[in-house]
Amino acid sequence: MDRMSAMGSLHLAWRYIAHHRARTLLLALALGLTLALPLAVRSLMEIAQREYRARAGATPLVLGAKGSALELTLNALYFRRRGVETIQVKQMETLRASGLTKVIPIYARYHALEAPVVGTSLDYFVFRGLQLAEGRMITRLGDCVIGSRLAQQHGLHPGGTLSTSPEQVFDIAGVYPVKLRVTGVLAESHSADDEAAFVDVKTAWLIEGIAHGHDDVVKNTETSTVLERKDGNVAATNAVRMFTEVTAENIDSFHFHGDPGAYPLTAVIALPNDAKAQAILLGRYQNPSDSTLLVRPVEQMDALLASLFQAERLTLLLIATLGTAVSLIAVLVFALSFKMRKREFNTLEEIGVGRVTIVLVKLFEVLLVGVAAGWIVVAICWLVQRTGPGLVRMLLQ
Amino acid sequence: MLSTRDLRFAYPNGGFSLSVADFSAAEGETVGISGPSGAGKSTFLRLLSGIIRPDTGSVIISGENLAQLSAKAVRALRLRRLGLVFQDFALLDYLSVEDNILLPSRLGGTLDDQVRRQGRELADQLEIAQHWNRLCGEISQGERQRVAVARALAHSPVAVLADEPTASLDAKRSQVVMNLLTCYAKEKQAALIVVTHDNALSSQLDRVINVEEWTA
Repeated sequence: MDRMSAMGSLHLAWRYIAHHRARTLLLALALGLTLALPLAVRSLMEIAQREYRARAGATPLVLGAKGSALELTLNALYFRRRGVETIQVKQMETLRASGLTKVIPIYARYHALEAPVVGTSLDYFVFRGLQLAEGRMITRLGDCVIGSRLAQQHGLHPGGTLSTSPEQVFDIAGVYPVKLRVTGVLAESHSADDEAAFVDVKTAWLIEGIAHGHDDVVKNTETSTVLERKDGNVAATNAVRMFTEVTAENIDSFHFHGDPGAYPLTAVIALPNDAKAQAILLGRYQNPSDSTLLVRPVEQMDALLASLFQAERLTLLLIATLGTAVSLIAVLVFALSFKMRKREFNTLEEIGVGRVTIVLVKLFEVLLVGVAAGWIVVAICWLVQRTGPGLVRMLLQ
Repeated sequence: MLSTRDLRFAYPNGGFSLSVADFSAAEGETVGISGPSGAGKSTFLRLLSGIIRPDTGSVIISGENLAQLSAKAVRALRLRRLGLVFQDFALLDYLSVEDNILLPSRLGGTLDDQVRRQGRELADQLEIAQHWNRLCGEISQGERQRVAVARALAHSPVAVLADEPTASLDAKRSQVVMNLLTCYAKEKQAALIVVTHDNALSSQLDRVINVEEWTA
């Protein structure tokens, strides 16, 4: 068997494969997917581990309402709104007053353009190391800065606006949409922050309805908005305009109702002064009768990853079984194909082609299908590597 | 060039047997094999080419006794030194006309520019050059037969064994093919053994043997 004969075998195999490209593609797809699936699952798990542990590890403590520690962690880290309870501002102040930690409020209950709207303070951006790619930071009520991916997806830039969405379709009397002014776009951070809109926590309360702005009925001489003026009190009619957007003209009309200490927060990120302060704080929040919970996110994410690894093992077992079945089918397909082409191989034998050359033709055909399957595996793995982090974050939101 | 001695062959089921007295074809000689269907003409060609081995006797090609060669060596000899035209053409439908014509050279490791040029010239002479890049599965029976003839000659064999090479052709094209085969044999001093029923074509050959002359 010389090199030219081997090249001839390859040529013949290639011609056969090229002639039956649809069949080859199907077979390569089946094999490629079977091989790629376990790699993709493994790759996703590694990305998940890296992603979850990095963000959780960078967040020392999270305070929130008693309940699911994992849900609290996911709200504070990934702004997941599902199943989250609230605590009050005064509980954050109690934590701050301990002198053991800095605190960053998180109020993530609402959304705009399917993205979470996160009420927080400017400290959050410093804590996460978030930089502006364009525009400027939040300076007043109704302003927001948005993550790079959110901006990219919706073509948003500083000067643009986005409206918050009602929490329920039929929530007519409840939270009404507030138009937010985009003042800045954050640089890409490859984290959940890329997909969120950040507002000052007061703006989040405005969305909640705790604060609002409307026509000034005290100074207003428009009679249609006033029902009655008596003893310095004014009873307004329903003609009073409620503002759904904060502007330079109406900002002074916005005001808060109720006890500021009772305003809600979904989580508080605590940044203890040192390890000792962290240990003291964890000890203080061990009382089962407390209405709050102080958790270490890294522990919660480790527990989540442990569950995911168990699921991964089961998934890989299923995929391995499926893969074995597909591989056996592929062997059968090749065997049947070669059997059906017996006449063709007989022809080659009759014109004098050596048996080794004929075996080589068959091997090259298998190899070429394998190479095509390999390319499919590479393409899928590349896609998983590229989209994996976003996919992993999406699963948590 | 090509000879047999005391050749005997019987199919294992006992339905057919062939016994051939000494046969030979010299360099450049053209020999016709005629006879009724089922008389063993095709079997004789298969014995000559080493596709099947005789029960007794020997086949000698260019001084090499096939019985003394390994199966691998017989195949190599067949691929490089014989040109075979099969009754059913034995073409690969998923290959182009070009690939079919060059197949023996390609798989025999002897494909070069000269073989390519020769293949192209044969296609021109056999009026199939316009189908050079078309798949063999897409051309007519007559064209397929001519591709089979071109394939048998492209690698310059020392002997050509053709089993009814004009069966699917009209009179004019049959003449072209026979002329090509006989001219090739004379020019290249190759032995040409042709199985044919066509007496008109047989008249172009140096001699014709009726298989009924052989003891069956």
